[in-house]
Order: sequence, then C-alpha cells, then structure tokens
Amino acid sequence: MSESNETKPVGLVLGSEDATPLDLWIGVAEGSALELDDHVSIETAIPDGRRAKFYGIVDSVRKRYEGTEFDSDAFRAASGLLPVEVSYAAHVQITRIDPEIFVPPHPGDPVERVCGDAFLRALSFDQVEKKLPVGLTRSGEVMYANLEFLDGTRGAHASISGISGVATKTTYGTFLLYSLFHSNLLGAEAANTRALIFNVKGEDLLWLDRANRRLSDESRAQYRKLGLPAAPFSSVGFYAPARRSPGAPMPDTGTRQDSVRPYLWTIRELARDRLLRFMFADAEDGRAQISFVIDRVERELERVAELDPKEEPWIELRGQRIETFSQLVEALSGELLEEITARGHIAGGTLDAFRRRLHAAANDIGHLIRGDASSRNRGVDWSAHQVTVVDIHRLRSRAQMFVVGVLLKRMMAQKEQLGTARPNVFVMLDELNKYAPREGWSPIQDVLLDIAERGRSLGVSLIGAQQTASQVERRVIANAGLRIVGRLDTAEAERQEYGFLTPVARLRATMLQPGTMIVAQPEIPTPILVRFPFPAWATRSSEAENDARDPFARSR
Amino acid sequence: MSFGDYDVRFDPWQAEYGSEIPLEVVSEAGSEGVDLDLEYAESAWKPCAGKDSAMFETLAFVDGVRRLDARVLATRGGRRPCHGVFGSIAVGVARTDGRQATIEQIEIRRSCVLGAGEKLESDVHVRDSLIYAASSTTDLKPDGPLRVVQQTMRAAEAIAAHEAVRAGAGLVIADGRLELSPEPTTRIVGYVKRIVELYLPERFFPFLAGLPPRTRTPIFAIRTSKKDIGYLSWFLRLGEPLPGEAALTGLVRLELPAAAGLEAARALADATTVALPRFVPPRSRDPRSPQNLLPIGGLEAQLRRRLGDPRLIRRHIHQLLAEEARP
Repeated sequence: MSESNETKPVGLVLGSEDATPLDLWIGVAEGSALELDDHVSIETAIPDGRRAKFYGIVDSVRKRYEGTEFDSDAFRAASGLLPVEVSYAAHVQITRIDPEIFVPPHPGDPVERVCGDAFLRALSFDQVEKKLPVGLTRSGEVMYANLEFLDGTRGAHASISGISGVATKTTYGTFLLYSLFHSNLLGAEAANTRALIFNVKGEDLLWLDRANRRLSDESRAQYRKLGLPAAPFSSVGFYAPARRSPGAPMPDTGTRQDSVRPYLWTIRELARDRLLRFMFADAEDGRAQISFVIDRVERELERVAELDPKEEPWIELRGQRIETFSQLVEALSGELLEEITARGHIAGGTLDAFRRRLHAAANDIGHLIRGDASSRNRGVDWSAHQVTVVDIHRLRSRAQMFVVGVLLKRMMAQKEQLGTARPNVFVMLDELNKYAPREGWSPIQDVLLDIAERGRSLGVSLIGAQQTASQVERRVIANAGLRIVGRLDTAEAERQEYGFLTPVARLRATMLQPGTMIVAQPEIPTPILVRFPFPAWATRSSEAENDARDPFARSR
Repeated sequence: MSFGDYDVRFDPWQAEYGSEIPLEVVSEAGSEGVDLDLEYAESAWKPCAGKDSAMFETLAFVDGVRRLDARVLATRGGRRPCHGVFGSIAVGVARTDGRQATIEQIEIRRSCVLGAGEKLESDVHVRDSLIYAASSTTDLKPDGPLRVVQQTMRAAEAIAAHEAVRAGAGLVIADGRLELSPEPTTRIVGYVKRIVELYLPERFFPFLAGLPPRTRTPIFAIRTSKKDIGYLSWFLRLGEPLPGEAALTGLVRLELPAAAGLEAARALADATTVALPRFVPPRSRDPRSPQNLLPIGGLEAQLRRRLGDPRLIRRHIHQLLAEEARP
C-alpha cells in the first residue's frame, strides 16, 4: 500500500502484553512520541501469504522504569545510582482491520502513525458516502460522522450530555447544524431541510445570522480545514414569545428586537388543535382522574371550534365570545365544567384540582393565548427559514413546556400528513431531562418519545442536550445514533447511560475543556475526542458585526 | 546435522542447570605473602577516611553473568563419551555520572564446549538468535568445559573494563580479582565482594572487625608466586553489620596491579572509600546488601534478562538433541 502521508515506524507491537485483534500495546521507539488520540496502523503477515492491516487509536499511554523493583528505586535512578531503562508504551484500540482477518498482530510488527486518507480509512470513512464534519481531532484531522445515522436513513437523533457552562452543549449542537447546512452535504435537499432550535438559556442563539467579530484567524483556519465557510447561518428566523402587554404583539426579548417575530396562539387554535393538555405538564397531572377531565374539556372545546368554522381567533362557548384566556378560565370555573364532565362521575375534588391548575396555567401561559384581532397569524412558521430559533428562555417553566410540546406535536402532525421523511427537520432542544424526565409523565414527554421512536421514519431528528443523561427517559437516549459528551460530572460519568464510553474516555470526559467533545457513533468501535471551532456566528450583541444584517430576515 | 560426526546427548545428571554459580573457579591461591608497611608502618595502622575527587566523577561498574544452559555427553566413533556444556555469558558496563546511570557495552556470547580435546566441527545453530560457538578444552573432568565458559566471561570483563576507560570513565570497578592485562592502567580496580582469603595476619582480625563504616584499611601489597606480579589492596567497610551478622559483613576488598604504584593506589583507595558507600542498596531491597552495589545489581538483572529465558533455551536445545539423536 503506498500512502505518501504515512511516516516511519513510531514503535513496535509489544510481546510482553497480549496483542489481540481488538486491542494491543505498542512500545514507542526512542526519539518518537505517541499521545492519546493518535491514530496508528500495523501491518501483519499471515502464514498463508496474505497481509492484514490494523488501524487503531491510542487510548492510553504510559511510561515506567524497567529494571526497578521498588517505588523508591525512582529516587535511586534519578540520582544516578541505579541503572534503569524507561519503557514508553501506548495502548491501542483497534478501529478497523483490512481485510477483516481477525488474527492478532505479531509482536515486533512495526507501528506507523496515520494521517490524511489513511486516517479516514482507519475509521472506515473511506466507505462512507455522506460525511458530516463534526470537528477536528487533536492531531488536526477532520473527524466525520456518517450522516446516515442522523438523517433517518439508518438512524437518527443525537444526544449531547455535559455539565452546564463547561460542556458547551448548545454551541456544539449549533455547530452540528451549521456543518449540516453549510457542508454541501444535503445537496438538493438543502433548500427544504429545516432546523428548529429552542433557545432555553440566555439569548446566545438570537444572533445566529450575524458574523462573529471575535473570530480569530486560527478559528477561520479550522473552518477551512473542515471544509466549511466561516460565516453566520445563512437563513434564520427568530421568534420570541409575545409580551404580556395588550395590543399589537411585541417580542419579549432583552438584547435584540429587530428581526424577531412575536409568537402566540389564538383561542381557536387552542380549542381546535386540542392544546389544553400541554398546560398540564406537572408530573401529578398524569393521574387518571384529572387527565380525564382535561380530555373532556378538550373535546368540548374542539367541538365548539368546529361548530363555527369561521377562521376568527376567538370561539363562542355557550353563546359567550371567548377572546382571552382568562375568559376561558372564568367560563370553566362555573357550572360549565360540571356540565361537560357530567357523565364521567367525577368527584368534586378532582374538578377543583383541574380549576386550580387551570388558574395557575393562566398565570404563566395566559398571555400567549389570545382571541383579539391582532393575534391572527402569530404562530411559529418553522418552514419559512432554514433555521428557526424559538426563544423560550424568559418564559416560566410551565409555559416553556407548553411551547415545546405544542410546536413539536404540530410538527409531527404536519410531517405525518406529508407522509414523506424527506426533507428532514432537525430539532434542537436543551434540558431534555426537564421535558422528558425519566421519572414521571408529561404530555411533552409523549411527544418527545414519539419523535425518538417514530421520528426516524418521519424525517424528524432530535438533537437533544442534557446535563445528565441518567435523568432522561431511557428510550429517548437509547434511540440516539450519535452520542456526544462534553465535560461530565465524575459521578455522572460512571453511570450506565455512558456505557458507550471506554473506561479511558469516561475518565477523560471528567476533564474535557470547553470546545472539546467526545463523539461516539455506531460504526466506530471507540469514541473519538474532537475539538470544534469557535462559533463563526455571534452569540451576543457585542460580538455581532453591525453592518451584516440578515438579508433573509423579514421586517414586521 | 548440527553436530557432524558426534553423537551429542543430554547428560543425565543436570542438577545445576540454569544456575549461575555452580562451581568455585576463582582461585585466590598463589599468594606468597603480604607487605603491610607500605602506606603506614604496621604499628601505625588505623582506619583511613576517604577523599572526594572530581576526577572519578564518572564511574563504570563492570560485571558479567554466566549460565549453564545444558550439560551434554558427546561421543564419536564408539569412543568413550566426553563431557560438554552449552553455556552463555553476558558482560556489560553500568555507567554513572552522578545524575544518570546507564547500561552500556552489553556483550553476549554462547559456546558449546567439549572436554577431552574434542571439538564440534561447526557452531551449533539452535535457533536463529541462539547460536553456540564450538569450543574445546583438554580437561577431562566434568567441570572442565564450564571453566572455559567462566574464562570467556572473565576475559570479556577485562576487555569491557579497558573499553570503559577508553570511553572516558574516571574509575572502573571490575568484578572480582583483576585479570592482569598487558595494558597497565590506574583507572581500574578489582572489587572482591566475597572475602574468601583474608591476606592479613590473624592478629589484624579485631582491626578489620572494628573498621568503622565508610573507612578503609591502609594499603597493603600482595605478592604472588609469579615474579614481578603483585597487587596493591585495601579493605573497605561499606556498611555496619546488623545484630547477629558476622563481623566481616559489609567488608569488601579492592585491588589494583602493583605496577600502578602507591600514589595512584592511594588516590583510588581514597576515592573509592567516598564513592562506593553511596551505591549501597538498602537491606530491604537486596539481601546481598551492602556488598552488592546498586549499579551491579541493576546490571546483573539486565544481563540475565538479555541471556533469555533459561527454560525456553533449554527446551530448544533438548529439541535439537532429540532431533539429531541417532538410533
């Protein structure tokens, strides 16, 4: 095999430790150095005349004195009293054998460092058609993921775990989307592929359409290496919840007002689309009695909405026009609720519990449900731009749940109606442990489970992030094709949810620096550490280039 | 046909196979007497402290190990079998400059020695990396061939010591009695770890037994039976005996050719008295402490490793003998 970019041997396969086709130890030659994450290849001769090439990644390196028996010998050796030799060895996890002959490499076989094309071969990426750049290895090679495991062809969803603030989960998720849309990988589908991002914390994601002034030349070089332009997202729509003030809806944001559209729902949409349940997101709301009441009320509202096919934002309930959410709450406070649920033999206490919760919901979400004339067409249209950012960070928890639940349910329904998986929709949602908790139940959890399990066939891919995967519903995590961790808490790293990490990777995950992630994917037997470049888009107003207005943003 | 005309078989009695010190071949006999009044008058003998010398900063310790891989009996043309051995030696140098100790100049030799003047026609090729040079001795006794192996090692040690001097070592500590070479040097001293011969008259025993640690005796001369050949020698106390240990524990004897002269001997004696106790291993680390100095222990372990696994080598030899055995 002639590979111009391979170098001379860096070491030999050791014979003092077992060499197996799956992992082995190599001795590093004097004057050479191997570090963690280096990629190596070993060619071994088989008695029948064939040759097998092993590719692997260094996942542990160690040095030790040879010829010493006691720990204290180190001091003797250091002061020149005891002659010793230093053994420098590296443990290699095999990632590919070409051809697949599972013989052990021979002790003494030379080991070479690989880069360039050989590096891609080492990770079997020479056989992958759709290579999504996901970062750079520490030695500077471009690391890919097989898009087929993200776009639904063979798998879908990505799961990103890590400590808030250090793990840079959101930034990495955004980078993945950027890579997806700007790597020319989608081809003709790029025009119709969409991403829906929920902005959960801060207003970092409200500047995706602006170039980052602080982007260094080094970062630009990284983008070049990745084959990506160093630019902001090219097509972004921003939505923020409408302010509580009456009148024309205004987006409730702090740092950015321009190009941000306010969103809310009409009373009619609430009734017609049976959205009420998404206001009852507390764990105990799943109890049979209350959910029965919710179901009855939803049905009644749906019936009322359909009775009057006018596309007005309000509805008429028992002859009374409902134009605000408070009016609806008021209406349901009286005899009407007993009437709706009459045949269910519901205990009075349960009805009161329903009312109490409805009151609480009105407080948190009421301002997002309106029936006045100015509330028309204020929904989130995630199909208008390539990327749609829905800000929910200023909303109270119950309202956040409502927005996420309603939008995702809507999306699934629309995709279902289309009946085709393509083009894809990628949904990015942080704090999955809140929306799909392992313990308890919520209507949003149902939607997320639906995405996790059916999303692949419907073309909906979830890029979920969470501090602790151990607190997220198992099926949501288990369905992820791409598993990514940033810095993990030591105790968290030990949990079985991170079984895809090797023991070494587990240890390293507890000391990852911002900008570094460990990526595990189905076709590569070992997780790989990657660095990703500083965002080329602004993450706050001070970073945003003033003159570069988003040409795609609609003016209100 | 590895053995030509010879029929070579395993010796049925191989009790010492794999061992390294099966026989006491080093003879210190031949001493004709000692001169005590050399450095000090006999009546003025006292323990002498050492003196540090920058000249001896780089020290080289020369040592060798020997191993008996297999004993054989060889016969040709129906004659009486002669004794023979497959033996291996390894010699090397541990060099230290006060900052780092390294092992250098490792040399390994393997030979198949037959007694009674018999010799194989060619070297024995056991494996690719296991070739025994054909050699011979006229000695008829069972241990005769082993002596040849021992002499090979001693000769290799002597060469290694001189090479170490040429490579810039300030002082070379050679293992055991010095083989006198035609190249006189004042940089090599013999280091006798195990005191077999006391040399000094019996009345000096209390003086030796009471020699404090890190001091030496005055230099004395050893005359040999050969004219003009003698040694200058001194005892050095490396460490104190523990309770219950013999009074001579921790004593070593050093020597160099008398031709070096008293002044050179005094400089070496002073230097070794300061330098060598530094290399004493803790008792917990080595039961042969304090005599078995750290560089020597490290060198020996390395040399043994380089000789290869004794059981494996013996199995290879056995296999070869079995294949070659004539019915």
